[in-house]
Formats: sequence, C-alpha cells, structure tokens
Amino acid sequence: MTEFKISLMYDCPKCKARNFLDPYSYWDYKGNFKCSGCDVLYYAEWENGQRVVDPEAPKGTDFILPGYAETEDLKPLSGPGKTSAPPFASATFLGKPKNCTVSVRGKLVACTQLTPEDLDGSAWKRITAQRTYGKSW
Amino acid sequence: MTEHLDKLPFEDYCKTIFNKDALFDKPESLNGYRVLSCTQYILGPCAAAYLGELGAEVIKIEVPRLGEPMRHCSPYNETWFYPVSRWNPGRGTSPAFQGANHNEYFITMDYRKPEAKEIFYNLVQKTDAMVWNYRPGTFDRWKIGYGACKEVNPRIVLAWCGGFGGFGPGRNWASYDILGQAKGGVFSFTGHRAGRASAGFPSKHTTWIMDYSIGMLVSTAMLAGLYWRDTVSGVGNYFECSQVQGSTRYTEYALPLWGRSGVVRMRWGNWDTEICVNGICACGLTSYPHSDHPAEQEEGYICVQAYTDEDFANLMNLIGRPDLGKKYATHDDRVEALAQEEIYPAIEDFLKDKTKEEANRIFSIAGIISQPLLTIMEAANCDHWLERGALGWYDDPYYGDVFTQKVMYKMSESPPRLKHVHRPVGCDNEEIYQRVIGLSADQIREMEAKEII
Repeated sequence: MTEFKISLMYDCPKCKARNFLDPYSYWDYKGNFKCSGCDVLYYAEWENGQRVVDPEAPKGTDFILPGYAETEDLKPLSGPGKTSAPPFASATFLGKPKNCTVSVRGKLVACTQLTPEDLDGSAWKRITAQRTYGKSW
Repeated sequence: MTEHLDKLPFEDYCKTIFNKDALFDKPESLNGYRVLSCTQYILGPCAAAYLGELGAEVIKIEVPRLGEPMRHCSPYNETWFYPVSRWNPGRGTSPAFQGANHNEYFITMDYRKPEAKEIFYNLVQKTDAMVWNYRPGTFDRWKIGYGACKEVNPRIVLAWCGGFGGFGPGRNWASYDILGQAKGGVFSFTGHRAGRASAGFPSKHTTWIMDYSIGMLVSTAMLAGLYWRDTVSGVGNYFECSQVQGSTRYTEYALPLWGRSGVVRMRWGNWDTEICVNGICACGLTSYPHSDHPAEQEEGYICVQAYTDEDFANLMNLIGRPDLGKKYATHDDRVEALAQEEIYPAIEDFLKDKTKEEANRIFSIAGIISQPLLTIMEAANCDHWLERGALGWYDDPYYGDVFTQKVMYKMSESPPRLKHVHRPVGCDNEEIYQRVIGLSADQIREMEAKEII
C-alpha cells in the first residue's frame, strides 16, 4: 500500500499549529518556512508538489510564510508576519473596481451602475434612445 | 440551385449552405415548442438554452427581483451587465450567467406562494418540456412536482438534472461542477504527472465543463422525449439526469481498463499515456515581451503531435536529436514512461529560445502537427472562429456591445442562432404572462408588487 503523505501541510511539533503551505509558493520550493504558531523556522524541500525533504533544522535566516494556518483547536492564525499575502494580492488584481462604459473595442456597453431614472423599462435609456434614433455604434 | 451548389468546391459549398449572415432568413428546428426552465447556476440553464438556440421558446423562471444565484457569481468586478432588474438597477448580472442562458425569456415567480401555483400550472398546461435542477424532492415539497405537472399536462416532457439523482445513498447531496469531476473519477487522471515516488497531484478543469457537457446530455434526452411523444406514444416523459453520473461518461477507457485488468489509470499531466509524441511543451520565450499583464508575460506553450515512426524521426531530426529518433524508433519504445521523460525535455530544450509562434512556424514547415495554446484574447481574435461565426460581436438590445460564443454547430436548412445573451430579471413578465396565460397588465403589476411574480 502506498504511503499517503500530505506534502503541503505541516503540523508544528512544538506549538501544534497546522500550517497550510500553499501550492503557489511551495510547489517547487527549497528553503525555510516559518511556523505561524511559534515563529520557529524549518527547512524543507518540495518537487512537483511533493515534499521530498521533511521539515528539519533551518538553513540560514531567509524564510517564507504559510498561506494559511490555524491552531490546534482550529482558530485561524492570520495577519502580517503570520501568513503570506494571497499570491495575486497586487494592484493589478485587487485594485479599485473600474466601471466599464465601453467594450474592449471601444463601443458603448450598459456596464455601469444605474439608477431607476436611467432605465427605460428594463433597458438602459441611453441605449434605447440611441436605438430609437438609429445611431450606429 | 442544388445543381449549382453541387459544382462548387467543398469549401465554397460549406460557406454557401452554412452562410452565417443568412441564419435569420431560415426557419428554426424547434419553432413551436415551448420549454420552461426552472433552473439555476449552469447545468439546468444550459440544457434549456441549447434548445433555445434551436428555436424553442424557452421561458426561464427566476426568484422575483434578484434572479437566480448565478447572476451574482464570479467574476467579481465591474464588468457586470447592468441592470440586474428594473427593481435593482444598481446591481448587475455577472458575465458568468450569459453562456448558459441564450435566447431565453425571463420571467419571475415565487413558487412557494399559494397564489403562484395556479399561474405555474397554467404555464405547465401550455408547455411542451420543462427542466429543473433543484435538489431532489424540492418541487414535490412545493406541490409542483412531476405528479402535479403530469396531472395538468400528461404530454409534458420533464427533465430533472439533480446532483446525485433521486435515489441511491448519495441522493441528498448537492452537487456542483468540481464535485461532479471528483465523484465521477475524472480527477484520478487529470493533473500533474506522477513522479517516481508519488501519484501526482490532481487538477480541476477550471471552467464548468461538467455542467455544460452534461447539460447537453439533458437536452438530448429532452429531444428524445419530445420525439417519442410526438411520433410514438403521445404521452410525456420524466427524466432524471444526475450530474455526477454523467461525469463518469467522460472517464473514457479508464473504467473498462480497470474492469479488464485491474489497472488504475493514473495522471500523466500534459503528456499522453497512449501515444508519443502527443503533448504540451513549454516554449522559452513569451510572445508579449513588453506586456505588463501576468498572463502575457508567461512563456508560451505549444501542442506537438508526432507519433508515427516517420513523424517522430522527422521531429527528432528537426530538434537536432537524431540519436533519440534511432533510440526510440518504434512507438512501443517511445510510449514508455522513461522514454517520454527523455523525449519531452529534449523538445523543450529545442524550444527554450523560441516563442510559441516561432515554434509553430518551424513545426509547420517541417510537416509536424502543432498548435500554440491561445490565450482567451488570442482565441477571441482568431480569424478562423470569426469567419465561421463561432465567436463574435453582437449588438445587444439591453447591454450594448457584447462579445460572446455564438453557436457551436451549423445546420443547412434550420440552423441554430444567437438572438440575445440574456435579459434582466423579470423583463418578459408582461409579454409572457399576457401572451401565454392571459393575465392583464393590472394583474401583473399587482402580483409584482406582492412579489408573487
């Protein structure tokens, strides 16, 4: 029977915190990671999502954080210094929402928040008006 | 006319009989059939929408004012289609809703209210087919199940596409696409290839592929039910199509393989366990070196296929590894795992200083079958799709300029067509309730105010 090993999760033997080592950061990673519960560093290696070197004494002082962690009694350990930011937490992905007013080819779309006054029945007045007068857009 | 067509070269013949600009001049296959879609999310809605594309009058019933949950799902950003309804113009409908709701009429009804039941039965009486995808027994609990519908309309063809089906140990579980992939066994061979000491790592198909494909099975079953009713028996039918059961259909040879030999099919990532070379290879260079978009900054990928002995030798000569061509001269040699672990890295080594377009050009000249992996932007601008009318822009009366999938197949005499992607919640209340069951405008307004409809 093949031994079933959970590669991307580590229960800290010191503080019993469960560290979830997210695939985005740890899929092919060699180096230290920090336990979110007791801030102890461990060294481990992963290849293709599989842990090939189990956590051992740290090598050097650099480290990355788990994606998510929780205590033994399932309370989340999160926040700066405890868990890493989501992998796509950059301005590109989590910037301020921008209302679309035109499609990617530059033509008008009903894609901005409307008020009851903006409507003509269920459709956007601006669009129905343009249709009525036969504008080509 | 036929004589003239027969003299055309095949390409011109296809272009003429499938002319995408003449779709609306031709009749519709299912014109005259009415379908009620009491559905939510993707599986049930798309089953009805497929019939709508063929010309059936599909009436979708949603919860009053807010509509079904899929309107409010991902992607979460300001790309939504405003308004979601005339009661709530500050909210929009998610683009995720549109692919599964083409060509439908949108009305509202709160099935649970006693006043709604009579209206519902009225609609059922004048309907040919119906689709549900609520949890098992929900409609029976609301006293509008198949028994009640059959009583008012014995000719009704009713398809219920629940998660796990109406009986069996898992009957009360809800399902959704990824769960269908998991329960059906599909994940056991989609994902990263196995390493020497591991079983690989599963990967889900990110789009709702089980919903869309099993929705197609449901619409096929409904067409069979309508055919049987109209040409054989004169009576309706009740279908149950379980999503997770449908997903087992997509495990292809894995089940008979196991049954015959006990072999459990494993993951092999972007390569192929059956033929070699037939896989996806990474190119070393991005096609958009100056882009600041992460999806474009990444290196390109290309599918390569060269599994006959001749093609394989040709490919190995092309990449400067004739030694591999000789070492793995027969297919039995090169389909082995260890051989693949040598062959694919050699191809990727050849591709490390090329973009996917350069690689495709080189392979094409050498007569090797290849296809770069397109981003969605590249697919949207692909001239092949645009010329065939598979994808394209259209001018929506409610939402303005929309780029979308159109129809995925052609018919010469009664072709499917896209009339609209969808409409706001309840925007067809007046038309359907007046035309189909004869309510007056005052009655409709009153019932809307009471949130019965």
